[in-house]
Amino acid sequence: MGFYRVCIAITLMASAGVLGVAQAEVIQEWNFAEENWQGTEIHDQKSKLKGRSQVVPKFEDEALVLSEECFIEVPEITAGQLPDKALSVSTRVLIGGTRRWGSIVGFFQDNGGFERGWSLGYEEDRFVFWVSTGGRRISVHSNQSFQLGQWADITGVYDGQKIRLYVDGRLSAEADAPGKIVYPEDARFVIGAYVDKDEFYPMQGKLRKVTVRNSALTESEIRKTAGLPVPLKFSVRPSVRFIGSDKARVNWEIESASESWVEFGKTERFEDKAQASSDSGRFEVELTDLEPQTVYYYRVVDGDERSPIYELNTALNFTLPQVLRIEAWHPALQQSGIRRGYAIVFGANIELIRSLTNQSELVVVVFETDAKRVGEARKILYEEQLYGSRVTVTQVESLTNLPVTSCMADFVFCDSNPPVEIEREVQRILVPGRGTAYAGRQVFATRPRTGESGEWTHQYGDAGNTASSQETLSGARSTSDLTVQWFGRPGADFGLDRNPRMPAPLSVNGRLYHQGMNRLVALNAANGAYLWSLEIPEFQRVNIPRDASNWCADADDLFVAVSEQAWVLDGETGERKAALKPAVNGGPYDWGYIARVGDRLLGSATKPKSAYKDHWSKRMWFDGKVGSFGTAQVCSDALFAYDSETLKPVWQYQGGTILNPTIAAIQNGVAFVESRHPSLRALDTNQISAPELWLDQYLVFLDLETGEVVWEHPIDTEDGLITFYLQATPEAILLTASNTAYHFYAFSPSTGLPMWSQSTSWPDDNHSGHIQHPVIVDGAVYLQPNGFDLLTGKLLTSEVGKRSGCHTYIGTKNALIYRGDGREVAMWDRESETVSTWPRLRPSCWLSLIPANGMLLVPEGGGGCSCGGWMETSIGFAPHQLLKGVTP
Amino acid sequence: MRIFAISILLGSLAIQVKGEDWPTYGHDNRRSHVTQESLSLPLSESWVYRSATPPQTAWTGPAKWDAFAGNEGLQSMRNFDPVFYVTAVGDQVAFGSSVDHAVHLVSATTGEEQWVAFTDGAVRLPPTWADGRLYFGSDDGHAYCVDSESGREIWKYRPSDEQRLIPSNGKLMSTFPVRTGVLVDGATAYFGCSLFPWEPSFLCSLDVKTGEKYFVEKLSGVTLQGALLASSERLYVPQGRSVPLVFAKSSGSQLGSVAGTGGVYCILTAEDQLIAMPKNQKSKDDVVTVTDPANRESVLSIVGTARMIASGRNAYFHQLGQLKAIDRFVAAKANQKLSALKKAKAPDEEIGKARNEGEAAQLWSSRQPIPSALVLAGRQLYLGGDGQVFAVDSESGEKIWSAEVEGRAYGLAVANGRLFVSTDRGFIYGFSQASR
Repeated sequence: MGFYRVCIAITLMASAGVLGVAQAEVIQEWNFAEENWQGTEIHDQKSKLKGRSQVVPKFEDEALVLSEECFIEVPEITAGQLPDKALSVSTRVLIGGTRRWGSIVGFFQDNGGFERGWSLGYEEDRFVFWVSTGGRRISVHSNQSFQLGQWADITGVYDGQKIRLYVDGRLSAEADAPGKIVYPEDARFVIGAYVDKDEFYPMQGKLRKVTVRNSALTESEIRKTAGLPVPLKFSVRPSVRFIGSDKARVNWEIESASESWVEFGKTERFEDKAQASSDSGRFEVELTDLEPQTVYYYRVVDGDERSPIYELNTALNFTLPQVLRIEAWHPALQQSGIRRGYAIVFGANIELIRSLTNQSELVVVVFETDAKRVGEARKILYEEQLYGSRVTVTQVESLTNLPVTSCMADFVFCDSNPPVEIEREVQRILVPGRGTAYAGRQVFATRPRTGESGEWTHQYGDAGNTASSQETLSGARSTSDLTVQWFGRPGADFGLDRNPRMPAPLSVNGRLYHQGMNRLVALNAANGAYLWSLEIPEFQRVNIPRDASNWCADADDLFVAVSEQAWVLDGETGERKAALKPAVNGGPYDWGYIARVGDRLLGSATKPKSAYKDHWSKRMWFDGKVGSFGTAQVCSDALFAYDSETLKPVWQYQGGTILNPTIAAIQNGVAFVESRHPSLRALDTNQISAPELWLDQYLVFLDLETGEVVWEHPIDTEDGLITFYLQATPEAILLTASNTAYHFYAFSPSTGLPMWSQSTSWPDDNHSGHIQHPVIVDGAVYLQPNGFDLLTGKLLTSEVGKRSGCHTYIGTKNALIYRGDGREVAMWDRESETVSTWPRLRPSCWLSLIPANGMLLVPEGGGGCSCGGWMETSIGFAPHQLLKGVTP
Repeated sequence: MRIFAISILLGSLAIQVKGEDWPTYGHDNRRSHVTQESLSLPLSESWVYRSATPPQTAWTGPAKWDAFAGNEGLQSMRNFDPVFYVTAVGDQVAFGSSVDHAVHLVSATTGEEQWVAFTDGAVRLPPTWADGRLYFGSDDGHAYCVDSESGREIWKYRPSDEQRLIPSNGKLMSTFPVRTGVLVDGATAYFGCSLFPWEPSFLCSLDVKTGEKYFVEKLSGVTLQGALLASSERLYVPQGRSVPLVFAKSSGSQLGSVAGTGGVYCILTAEDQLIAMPKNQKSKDDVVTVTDPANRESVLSIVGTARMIASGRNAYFHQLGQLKAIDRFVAAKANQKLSALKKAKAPDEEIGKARNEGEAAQLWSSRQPIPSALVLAGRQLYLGGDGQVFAVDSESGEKIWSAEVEGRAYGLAVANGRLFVSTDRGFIYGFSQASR
């Protein structure tokens, strides 16, 4: 029982004539913009009813700011004046903070046994509309959680038979509710707070308008009256790429449209419009004159159809200042194909420097021994507005000992063939596997990739989910064996939050890919140089321990699952090469699991909206135990493969309901666990918590080339009610279930027959202690605090470094890396079993550190935590040994 | 970079105002942001400097939110270089650039550039003037001393033997950058070289004339960044996302930290109390704290503000839409009394009385936009905002002047009859008093 402690003085207005159930459809229309208020009072624009707040309201975003003292009561309204046969109540609202429940607008009494009236409000993270037809209230909850801090158009409709709830013009939920609305005799009409005789729950948020009608609106009428668009159907969803310091390009595809455009601006009023050019349904538009450090809003329009409103933050524009004076190509630059990264130039050759800066997006660093030439070059380049932002000139005593870290130069230029001492220095600074040095027009040096460097191409390192790479880190076993090779963007503003267990970064072929909030960036792994980025609305996926990641990579391309498609992006440029759909019968389906192994691109088909996407609130930490929110497994109805060369579908498999976290592939096949219980197919979502998921389970192994079943066996393991992981190596397939402890089951990859099983206690029941993903490296499997022999299950150690915080472990050849004591990034030496750390370095709450490319790559993933003095920057650590070593 | 002289010159500025220099960041070594000089209003724009590229800050902005805890509007704790801050002596204005790695000297009257002194890294805080010399630090790991007339290098100093530069955001930089500015106190120049807490940092004290070492303290586990502050005996060193540190000026020995504070907006009052913010990045804890480092006790904390300055008994800050002036001693006393009563679980009546005493400390309040910069010049308060700069009478709160600027004005300096405004778009404006 709550209490109603707010005293509201009301000035009554005799308005009986305009009250009652009006003939006109709209019976109340409240617009809460500042200009409609007189002090604490406001009139509705239809019936001139007077509402009043306890205090003089505050306004933001052209909306009323709701608080404990600021909500609106309309005392003139009585039960008899409200419709009972049909009702539509609409609002545009922003929920700013969660409570267990709240009412945006309503007239009701609700004390458990006596529920009368109606309310349009929210409960926890869902909108709710309820009516009473005489008995207990009949409620419908929105099928998706709302995002705090985001505007939404909500409409509750009652037509005498059904109650419906619409969110942003789309039907979200409905239920039977025959009869008439029965009102309490003594209640209050309140907007912006939950108020009845017994209870008062204020609302935190903002409100722009409320409209009440005495008829039941249809979906199209709701869209029309609220000015909501008809949803735009894309054949390829939009993405945005920054193409200059004040420019961005938006791309999308619509099959039937002939013209389309983008509305954009600093507010949702969209001050600008840009017409798109099209080529057979492929649309492209440039947004120009974008201001730095500014949030823009945009949407795609095609006739009456509109996309949702998306956000674009120019603070995330990492392009370098460009000078667009294209002159004749410098032969070396043209030949090399290198356009981004760091160029080191030996000698202050102004013409060359101009060519490099004007024809590429390289950062040009010039070293020169002659002080006079340094001064002259600086002066010229400063006057040309190039100095500092694109090019620097540094005086050095000798060109044989440059003051730069090793392995950082993508492009090196000398006027002529250098002496051997300089050539040695060039070798030192070249990026292994990427860097090229020119003397005039001729290549005179390259540096091969470090032989023992690893790759991180999938969520857990490889398609087999081992959570390790073949990375040796040049033998590094301790944090002191590594040093900062580069640092900087992306920073904390790039990300979604450290909390909701996002997909891991990837690194292959010298590139580092990292995801943020509906965006991704590609960097040069060796020096952190920006290569490209894409803003992709609706890309986001979270709670990866209960799903599969939404991306993977090979040496050439990046593959990203975006709702119902997978995009094949050129790894070096980010240009989209293809947009593929799930190659399965039936549907519609979203693209779930994605992997690239052998000559196959694997995918799985999940029912739409099955993936976890919400990130707001403590619940979206996904750290609960059995039965908690977030433990439902995301599953797939089918698995399929494309040929990675031709991008043609080659096979599909449709058996049971496949648990996405169990899909693991090796060179000759793909393994997974599926439940063949028939009831699961009938579910309208593949985010499954039904107990039947743990019945009729099979471990299946398909031939990678053909998709044919190589072997399958029924399994009856402990239920993975918290997590259920599968890892595949040529030596063993390991299933790990977590419920009240960890349970391991090893199977032969050739026959599927059991090899060993084992159970261990959780190290903790929180902060990921109960959802840890095992690490398999060099024939051993590690799960805090133990290490086991992968083939026999024999205990190897119980001294794995102690985890602290919500990260999971990853492995290199010599060490495990994780979030250790002090919640700092820690390294556990597999040989000496000793621990070292980096103070104030924080990873994300799952997996944001990857050993690859000869380095430990730590793109920023810990941002958002209000606690601690974390560095909140991306860092590439290189082994001292690598930086010292020069490949002749 | 280029100077655009816009509507230069207002004839001979025959205004009789007692001029005062603004020789270092925040006016003085306490970073008071207070000068005794008042300007004759209205001011008019004399010149504008515009960088082709906006300031390239050391760190990105804060996270969009703390989704887990439900906090939005997180604050940056390391925004010590959002603009090209200026310092001014006589008819000259100096600033450092995070874009072109140089210190620039321009005419205060016309904005015309007189010299440029390049370094090998970004210069993130403005130079300090002393006896015809300018002192500044660079991301290249050196502190510099140059001649103010010519920009000629007199000395430079790097405490670390490490010469390795690493890539960062499209630039090269030292792993021991000077991001504290250089504080000059008498014959001594102080600065810090620091970046990562797992690498060593250096607190340096040099002879201002020769650049020779008095002391270099090698520190571990710290991140020295943001302008140093000095009292008669102590150095205060902000750390950004960690608490400010306190050192003995004479020896460099560490005397502890100022708990419960953080950020890089730091001011040392005449009573050696440290005004600092933000202590963390939560929006709901948007608090300026005033701490007595002697006993590490919080003297006063103001919720819902991001900038505060103090002069005499008064403090000025913006809170919940209102610019306010308070008697800070009365407020502090009431605050301490209130804390004690709450701790003792005193009756509501007594607590209410103490609250009233606190409210009585308010001298005036005036509805004004949220400032990103705040300085006091004589009896005028100057505030930098989003797209504007304006002045308020410090005794009444009345708005007395305003002008539009491009970008958000984080940097203000008043010197010798002029107001200089630095914005996050890379603009520096010179405003002059109208001729009479």
